[in-house]
Parts: sequence; C-alpha cells; structure tokens
Amino acid sequence: MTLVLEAAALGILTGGVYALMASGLTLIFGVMRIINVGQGALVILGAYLSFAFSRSWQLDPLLTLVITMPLMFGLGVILQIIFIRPLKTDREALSVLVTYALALGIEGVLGYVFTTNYVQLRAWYETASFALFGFHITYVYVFGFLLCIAILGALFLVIYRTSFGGALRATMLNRTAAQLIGVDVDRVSAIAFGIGVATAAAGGVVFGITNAFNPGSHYDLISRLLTIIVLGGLGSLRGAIIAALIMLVTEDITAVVVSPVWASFVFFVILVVVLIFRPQGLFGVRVRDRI
Amino acid sequence: MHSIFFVQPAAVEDNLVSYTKWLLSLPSGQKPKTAAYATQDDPFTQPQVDKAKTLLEAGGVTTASYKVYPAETTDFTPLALQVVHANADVVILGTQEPDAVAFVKAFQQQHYNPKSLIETTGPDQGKDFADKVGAGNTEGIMVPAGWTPDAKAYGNDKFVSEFVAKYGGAPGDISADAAEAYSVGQVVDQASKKANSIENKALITALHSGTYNTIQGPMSFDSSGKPQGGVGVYIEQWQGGAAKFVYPPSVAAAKPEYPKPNWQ
Repeated sequence: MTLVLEAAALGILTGGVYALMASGLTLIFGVMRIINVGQGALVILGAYLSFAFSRSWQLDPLLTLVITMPLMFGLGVILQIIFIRPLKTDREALSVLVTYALALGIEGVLGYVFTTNYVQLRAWYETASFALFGFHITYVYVFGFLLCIAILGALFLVIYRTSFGGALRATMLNRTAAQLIGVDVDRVSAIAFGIGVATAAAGGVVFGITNAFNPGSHYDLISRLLTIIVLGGLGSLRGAIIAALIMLVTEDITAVVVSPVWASFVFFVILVVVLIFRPQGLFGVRVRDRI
Repeated sequence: MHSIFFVQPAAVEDNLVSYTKWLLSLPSGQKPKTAAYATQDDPFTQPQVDKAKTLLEAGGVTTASYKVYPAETTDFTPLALQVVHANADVVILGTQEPDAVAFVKAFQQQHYNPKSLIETTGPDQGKDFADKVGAGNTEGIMVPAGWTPDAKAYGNDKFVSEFVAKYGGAPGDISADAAEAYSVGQVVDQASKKANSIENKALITALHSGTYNTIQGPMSFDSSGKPQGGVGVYIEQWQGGAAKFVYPPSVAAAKPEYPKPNWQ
C-alpha cells in the first residue's frame, strides 16, 4: 500500500511537469487549429538552452528560465510568422508536416552543436529529498510541480483577466468572427505560438533535470504529449492538466502494482474508453468553445 | 547470422558471469542473501540479467524483485521505487546510459544503499557518467567491462594517446564504446590484410577463422559470429573517481569495495 501511495504522489508531481509541456501544445491547437508535432523538440531545445546557460554561467537550471523563456517566446513568434502563418488552406494536415520538419531541423542542429551524447542538467535538488508521511519526496519534483502551478496560473490570468486574453479566446471561439470584430488574429496567433513555445522551455528544464536527454529524446516525448491533449480534449488547457495527472498517476501505479510493461497499456485503455463515450476528450466539448 | 560479428570479449549473455562468480565467491558471512533485478526489454541488456539471475538463484541468492521494462520508458522513478522496496542486498540492472543514471539518482533520493550495485551499461562511459551522477556518487558502482585505459592489450597505448590528443581530457574519460568501436576497426584491418581483400565475402570467410588482436584482447569468432576465446568480461568498479578492474584477481588493479559505500 505504501508503494502505491508513493507511486501516486510521484505521478501527481511528475504529471504537473507533463501538464506544463502539454499546455503549450493544446493552447496552440486551440488558437490556430494546428497540431504542433514539434513541441517535443522544442522542449528538448529548451532543456539544451538551460544546459548551455547553466554550464557557461554556473547558473541554477531553474534560474536559466529567466533567459530561456523570453528567448523561446521570441523564437516561437518567429517560427509562427515564417512557417505557420503562410499556411492558408488545409492547415491541420500541412501543419503536421511543417512542424515535423521543424522538429527534425531542431534535432539536427542540436546534434551538430551538442553531439548526440546524453547530457543532464545538474542541481543540488535533483537528488535531495525530505521525509513526509514516511515517503522520501524529492525537491526537484516539488519544484517542478510548483513551477507548473505558477506558469499555468499566470497563463490562466493572461487568458481570463487581460484584453489580450479576450482576443485570444475570441480567436479560439471563431477565428473569422474575431477578425470581423477587429481582432488582429495574426498577432494573437503569433503571440499564442510564442507562449506555447515558452512553456516548452519551462517543461524542458525540469525534464532535463530529471532525465538524461539527447537531441532524439523528443520522439518519446511528443507521443506522450499528444496523447495527453487528446484525452484532455484538443484545445483545453484544463483538460491537458487533468489528463497529464491521470496519465502519470495511472502509469506509475500500474508500473509498481502490475508491471512497467503494462503501464502505458492501462493508460491507453482509459483513453480508448473515454473517447468511446466522449470523442471530444474529457474537457473538449467542442474544441473551439473554450480552453 | 553467419555474416554478423560481435567484437566484444564475450557473448552478450555472459557479460555478468564474472560478477556472479565474484558474489558467490564471497565468504559466507558476506555473501548476499537477496538480489533485485530490473532490466530493459532490450536484446543487449535482458539476456545478461536473466543469466545472472539464473546463476545467482542456483547459488542460493533469493530473488527479491525482478522487473522488465520497455526500452521507451522515460520515467524510471516508479521502477526504482520497486527496487528500493525490495530492499535486496545487491541490485543488478540491465540499463543503457539514461536509465543507469536515473536509477542511481532515484536510489540517492530514496536513501537506499544496496551492498552492491551493478549496471550493464552507463558506468562504463567514463567522464560522461561521472558528470551526470556526480563524481562522488560513482564510488562503488560496478559495470561489466573488457577494457580499461591502462590495459596492456594490443595497440591500447596508441589508441589511448591518440584519443586524448584528438579529443582532450584524460584516459579515464574515454567511453568503453569508443574502445569497442576501435576494436572493430582493428579486426577489420587485420581481416582485410589476411584476406588480401575488402570484399564482404572474403572478409566474412577470414573472420570465421584465426585470432584477431584488439585493445580488448585477442578474440576469434564461432560459426555464428559470437566472440570466442577472448579475455572475457571482467568487473569494473568506480573507486576514487576512476573505474578500475576489480575481478578476477588475475587482472584486478584494486580489490572490490564491498559493501559499496553509502551515497554522499
């Protein structure tokens, strides 16, 4: 029983990090109706940027977010303008190809600059832990979860308490109608893409502290992130958070109770059952209705 | 599989045989009573762990836990928790480098100190491994290995000096993978001279006979390409910031540290 509770606690904490990584993906889909299959590569790019800055300037990895998040935001805006904005027809299908090419490009550049050897971010809290109810809770997972709450909280504030958030929600509801009432949807889309890429930097730094990674690590990541946003409902931020927690808790408990081999299978059973009864996902009522 | 050759000192499934021999040779007061195993479902790692489990069980070491996990696993902490809860005397892990590092970190997080820890790959990656787990936390970790920078095998001095000259660092920083790749070059070089050809068919024929000298020792290949009669796979252990041969005594540069020191 102790092991199950410990696995559940771990699943909740790591689920927060996956929620952070998936939030950008679902936000981008909600605003632009595109599937950014390059999100995993952007997470890894964020991890490498933190790795480079922490190594060069002896910075704590989490502190590097002060630099990497604005950088990645800017990169996201540029990528949207150059690669996504020109897609005028058949955006859903073409965006998959374009963002996949983007992922391969990022992987190639990272491989050239950093080689394909595995690296890992180092910090004092990566192995330090404290005892709570007989468990050893590791600081890095707590910090990652707090980071997730802080960033997703800020994201909710921007979306629901600012005029830009109003324009964003209008674009998500109906892009054409938003244009008709004067919303600059191109600007909103570029900023939304930038925010989505900036959240990848935040997810990347925690991923990079808890996992050894190399430029090819994005393949496993993107498959998990896509699964999360499908379960949560494409375009739903709340859904991404809940689905990430369900995924990680289910997998971790299955891994310790049954077998690691069955961990993903059990989650996919849940996913299939949910999609049979709610094809739009847990919170996806209609993907453009709300986030 | 007549045309594929494996240039390592032993067939994969035998990589942990030396380790099991060492454990079973310990005095009865020190000999482990329980072992925990976890391995990727990988053709390189699982056969090693399964053979070690069979040998140790036959030698009276009870299996406290045995788990196989998919190679695509990214979150290793739940697996590590299971090993921790098994609280076995020794832990044997069928890892590649990312999971080797993740298990070490998870054991530190959980304050779990097995008497012995061996991982099939990871600790043999030199500085690359030490950088990820922290130099102080490498102490006592073991890995099956057939090569060290100070080995007196054919061409090793040249390989080490040229590697350091080209890539910098110290001999102890060199990954065993680099040594294994270099050995492949040595074998192909000698086979092509012997066959007086670089045609595949001629090379294959040449490789199925004779002995080839490498920095991992002399080796030859059986009809299926498995290495035969090489120096065998030994046990390497991190001691004082460097990986050293510790078993068998005939090649050992130091005595095995047992039990492994606690994490720093």
